[in-house]
Amino acid sequence: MKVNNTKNIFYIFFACFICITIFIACEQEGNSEFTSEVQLYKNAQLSNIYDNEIYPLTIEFTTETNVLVSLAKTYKGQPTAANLETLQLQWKSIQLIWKQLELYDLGDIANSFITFEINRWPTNPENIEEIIASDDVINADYIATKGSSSKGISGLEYLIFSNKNTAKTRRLDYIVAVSKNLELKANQLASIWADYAPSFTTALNNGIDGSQNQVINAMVTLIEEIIISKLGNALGDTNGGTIEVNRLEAYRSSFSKEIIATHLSALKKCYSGEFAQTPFRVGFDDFLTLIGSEAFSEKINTQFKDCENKLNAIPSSLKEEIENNPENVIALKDAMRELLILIKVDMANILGSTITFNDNDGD
Amino acid sequence: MMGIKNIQAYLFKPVSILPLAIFRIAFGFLLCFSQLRFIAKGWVDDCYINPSFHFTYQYFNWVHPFTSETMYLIVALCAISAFCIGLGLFYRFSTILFFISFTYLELIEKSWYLNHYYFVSLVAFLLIWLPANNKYAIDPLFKKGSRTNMVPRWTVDILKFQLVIVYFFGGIAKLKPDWLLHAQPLKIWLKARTDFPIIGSLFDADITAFLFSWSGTLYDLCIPFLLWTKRTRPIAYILVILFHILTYMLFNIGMFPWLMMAGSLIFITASEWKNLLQKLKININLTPSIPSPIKTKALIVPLILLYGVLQITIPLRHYFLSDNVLWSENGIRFAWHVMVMEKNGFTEFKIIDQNTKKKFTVYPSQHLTPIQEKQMSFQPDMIWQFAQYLEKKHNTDGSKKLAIYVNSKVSLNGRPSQTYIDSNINLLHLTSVNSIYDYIEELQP
Repeated sequence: MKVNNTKNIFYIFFACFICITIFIACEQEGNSEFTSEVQLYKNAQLSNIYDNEIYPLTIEFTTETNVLVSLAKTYKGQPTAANLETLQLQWKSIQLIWKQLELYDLGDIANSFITFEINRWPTNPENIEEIIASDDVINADYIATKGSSSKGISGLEYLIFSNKNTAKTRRLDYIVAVSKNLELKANQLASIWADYAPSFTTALNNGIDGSQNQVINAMVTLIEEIIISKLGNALGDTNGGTIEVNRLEAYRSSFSKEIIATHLSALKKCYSGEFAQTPFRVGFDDFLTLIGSEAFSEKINTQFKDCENKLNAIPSSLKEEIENNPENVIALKDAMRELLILIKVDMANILGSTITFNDNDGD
Repeated sequence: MMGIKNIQAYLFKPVSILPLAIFRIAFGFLLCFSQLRFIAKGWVDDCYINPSFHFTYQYFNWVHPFTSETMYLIVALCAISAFCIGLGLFYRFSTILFFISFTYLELIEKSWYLNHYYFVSLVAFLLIWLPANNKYAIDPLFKKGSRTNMVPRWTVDILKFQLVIVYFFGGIAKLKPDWLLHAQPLKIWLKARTDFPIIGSLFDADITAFLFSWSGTLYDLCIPFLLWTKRTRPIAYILVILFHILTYMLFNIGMFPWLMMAGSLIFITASEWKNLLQKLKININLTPSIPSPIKTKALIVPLILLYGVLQITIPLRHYFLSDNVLWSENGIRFAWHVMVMEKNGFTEFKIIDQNTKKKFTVYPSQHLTPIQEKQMSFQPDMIWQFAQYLEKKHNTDGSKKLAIYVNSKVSLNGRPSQTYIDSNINLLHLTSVNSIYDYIEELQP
């Protein structure tokens, strides 16, 4: 009898608990599409990233690579110093677009490995020279069969910024072919993003496949790459402290500092959601505010400013600064490390995010 | 003397084999699925093949992986042996093979340590000695006279005891200020799961995290005893299902909930099974028979006692090693600290050649897999191990005099990141792994 009573009490208690829960939950739901404010924010954040950053950038990237092809053809027709300079300026414009897009190497884009095709560095000059020295016909189809370290933005930099005689026919053919390949890849990237966008903006889950987690991981990956590859290698982290300026990204064009500045700007926009003057600009800072961590959010903003200040304290090119005042570049790397810790350790801890793409079997 | 006799009488009282057989079937098939899942998810590569360096366990540094093909074969053999355990086929051989293969696989890589893997190894070890294949199995079909309806009580109770240990010490592990007074890390985890159906919107409120924290503790501390008590068992098992389904849906907790739901079946007695099955119009024969004589009877009681003492002391050892086990992690493994913290870290190593004064910076991601890097970033013994690895790598001929320092930052349960290991200590001066625990910085509130 006692057993039955206990059972009944339990069932009644359980039924009441479920009813109350459903009632409260329904009462609190203001939006029928999303089960919570967090979900609403997540969707708004991801849409903001795609609509106001990735989409316009992919379009701009295709347009500018198209211009690049025209300029490459012009230079091939008239290999003058002025045309080379115009081509070099266009290369820089493309870098500035790509260095914003590079952050979003995630989901289907990462799986397609297209970012390697677009810009793999360091480039392999030996391979490029071998191709130029060969008898093979150099055109877009031929270049498509070659490895990513012989083409892309980085390969083009070698072709138009190294002090080799660019006006030779086969070298000119290579420049046009690489430009065309880049245009093709830019179009493919836009297409992959267009297909992936609906999944990206609606993957609101908190697991490793959730888009917000993927974006945080992409931020972490890029900051680590800046610290390890884009600054650390040149500062001699791996060789006992010997400066190696030729390990800087885009050292031939002396564009390394601008690349890091663009990365930093892209990271900051991604964090704040401040891509365009739209009314609902949701970023990670809004999430932190939503869960009551405004002070921490401000800490990240301050760290972004510190990184910018350290970068602005470098008056000349990164190449010159590393050679002459490496302490300024070390200070920039230190600031980037602090930013990394705030995002990878603190923000992930506060948001309960899954940092690094790992998956295992529980706890 | 009377006491020992009473204990013996209790332990060797014949009870139905049914709960033991059900446990064997559930455990075997679940672990077979688990190992196949391990292969399907690509974890054989991630865990055993891809790493160029493995974090081995103390005293088990000699355990290493074999080639890729061999590792796949071992995991497959592990799955097959688990399947045979489920069938009750070549039982003794299968349990030994499963225990050895599973434990070997777990010992290779510390960064993949999970409490339920340890639980599986323990249960596999116990099953070797238990006559769980004497009925509802294939073996008795070929071995006449081995079939029996009854087994000594200790063979069932030792598994119950193991379940009690997991739950109870899981509850003890939650008796900490972060969990009870700050509802951490549940505040973090629940706020990240407000997309959860129906009740998700409640997770925004701090009170929900407190409710989950306290009820979770109460559940862990009470559920083994509620399961053991006949009167409360039905409700307790319903709670087991509800609790574990909820944790499965809320958190990335893998096979643990299923193991606990399957494992808790050991508490359901044969008569309860009979009643349940009768409702489904299934009749089972529970006719008592005399259990097979056990030759090593005299040894069983002290061995059970020894096992029990080990199971009670090992999870408590951290109280003697550390003031805050969540922060230091000294003694946290094998202590049933399941889902009690949110911890993230960062490490960067500086190697100084003291002869040439050359400095090298090493980022763990250059050497470790993502899981290894993540786990090492907040586990001191792994940081020490990695420093030893770097020393070997940078000093291949042994002629260099190196110093290795770590810059480490860790955030625990929502606290701001703070320095973890004293960055001024040369890790190569620490001759034993245990020394590094003396250089953990104090946790700031």
